[in-house]
Amino acid sequence: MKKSPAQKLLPYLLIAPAFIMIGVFLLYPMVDNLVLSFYNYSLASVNRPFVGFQNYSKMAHEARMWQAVGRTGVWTATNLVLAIILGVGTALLLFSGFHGSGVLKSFVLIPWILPSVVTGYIFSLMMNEKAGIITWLLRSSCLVDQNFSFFNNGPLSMLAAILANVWRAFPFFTLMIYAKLCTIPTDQVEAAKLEGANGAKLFWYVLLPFIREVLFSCVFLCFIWTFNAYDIMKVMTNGGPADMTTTMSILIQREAFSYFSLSNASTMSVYAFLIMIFVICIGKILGMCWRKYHE
Amino acid sequence: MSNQHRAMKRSTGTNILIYLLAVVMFLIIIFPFYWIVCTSFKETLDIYVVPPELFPRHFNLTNYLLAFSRYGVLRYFLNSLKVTLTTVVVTTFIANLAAFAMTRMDFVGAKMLRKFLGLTQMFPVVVLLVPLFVFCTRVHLYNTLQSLILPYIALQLPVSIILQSGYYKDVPDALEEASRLDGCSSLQVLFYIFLPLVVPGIVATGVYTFIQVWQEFLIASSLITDSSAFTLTVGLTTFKGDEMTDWGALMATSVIIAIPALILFNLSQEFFINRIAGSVKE
Repeated sequence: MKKSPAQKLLPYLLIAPAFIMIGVFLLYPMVDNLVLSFYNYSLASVNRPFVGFQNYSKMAHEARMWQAVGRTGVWTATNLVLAIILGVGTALLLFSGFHGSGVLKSFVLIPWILPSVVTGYIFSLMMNEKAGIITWLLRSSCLVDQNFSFFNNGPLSMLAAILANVWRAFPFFTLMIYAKLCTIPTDQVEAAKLEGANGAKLFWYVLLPFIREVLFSCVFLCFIWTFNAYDIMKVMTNGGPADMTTTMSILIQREAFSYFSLSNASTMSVYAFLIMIFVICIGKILGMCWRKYHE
Repeated sequence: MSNQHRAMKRSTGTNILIYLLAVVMFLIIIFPFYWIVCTSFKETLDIYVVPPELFPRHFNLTNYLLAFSRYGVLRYFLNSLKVTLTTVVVTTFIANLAAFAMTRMDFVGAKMLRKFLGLTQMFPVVVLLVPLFVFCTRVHLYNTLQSLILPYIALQLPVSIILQSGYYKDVPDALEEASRLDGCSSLQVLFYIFLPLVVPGIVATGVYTFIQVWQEFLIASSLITDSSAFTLTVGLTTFKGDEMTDWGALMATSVIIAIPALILFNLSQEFFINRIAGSVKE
């Protein structure tokens, strides 16, 4: 059956609205951002001279950007490690099967549904110097001294924001890993048990290889989300105290919308994007090595 | 293997440990949420009582009333609702057209576009901020709700198309062939055969989009500086000052923000647990 020209055109007409929207409001801004980074663009001045790579070399010499890159690294790595441990742990707990696991399963996604700004505020309150229940618990258990506060030193502020973010991120791992674990053939597990594997060995040699691919894609997605995370940090620490928790997202947003140095912000966001892609490439290579090692 | 079987095989010690861990996990998950609701009913002074009280002394609604009267939460709520509903409706409609074409019609470039949609997930929102700001000031959209709706639609479309494609793929080929033999055109096939069949998908994808857009903060807080156009998440930041934070009203508003998302999620929980996680199994 031959298609008439109208029929040939139809699929393109159907996808047109979607890809025009994506093109205009997603792809074009991406390119525009790159273009802006080659100009000296500031709301304060009228002239917008083309400056080539000048912004890039200027930013490359700015300590505050590299410090922010470092903090983003600490933030992302700690978040990922904790979210993986807690997420996989909870998935195994659900998989172990106990009466009432259904209840836990239906509640486990709540942190993921709760708006991230709200999550930031409730953890701020719970860790508040005066009214925080977590601060009070720590103080009254004498683990810390009576003047303890999360938010007047850098590492502890970072820790506070990380805990809030892990609480929000781990259910995603739990859900995906648990769904995968449920499809494992029972004979595989039984055979391993007959050969005397249990506990850690069962996990390392049977379950982990089985969930490996899902774990990779979860880590990949979670890495992108965490690297670019903004809401929780903004709400809980606003980059403070003394910029000790200023990650790339916070720095770029502030540069653009508090200082209106648009070119600086564009340039830094290009740097952030390149660094993210670079880390993803390293991650892919490491993942390939792990696959080889297990085979 | 049923739960009972697994439980019987284990020693009592292991079982106790599992239950202990489960209870701890349950508390970790539920407590922050409980604490929001609990604080929202407390009087301002009671929030600062040491040791913190696990239950409000009496349920007073002062914080909720304050949120509406003093902080104008109703306006933020309506703004959020406008932005979110428009985004959900437009995104879902456009995504369905595209998903139908991309799964049910052969055309040059379909494969490439599918790959591209996956790649968009790596685009960080921060990169879009400056160009969007420049664009909005140029076309006089700065400080309007449209300046949020347009990028939201573009940001939500890729996931929406990917999720929706799954539903279109699941429709049996025989149905489509039968309707074609009856003389239906492609558009008729889409509207009379496919759309009714993918309604569960439309609902689920819509809920997912709703939850994402409802809580968006980075773009909204960057492009909106006029309090009459604040959305709920941006409005929430006005409760916290340098000197004083009205935690009671803030938590009451948090409850108001959380409720629509939680209700919608609850209604479509089957989808989230089975469908999204189900994509893993394939």
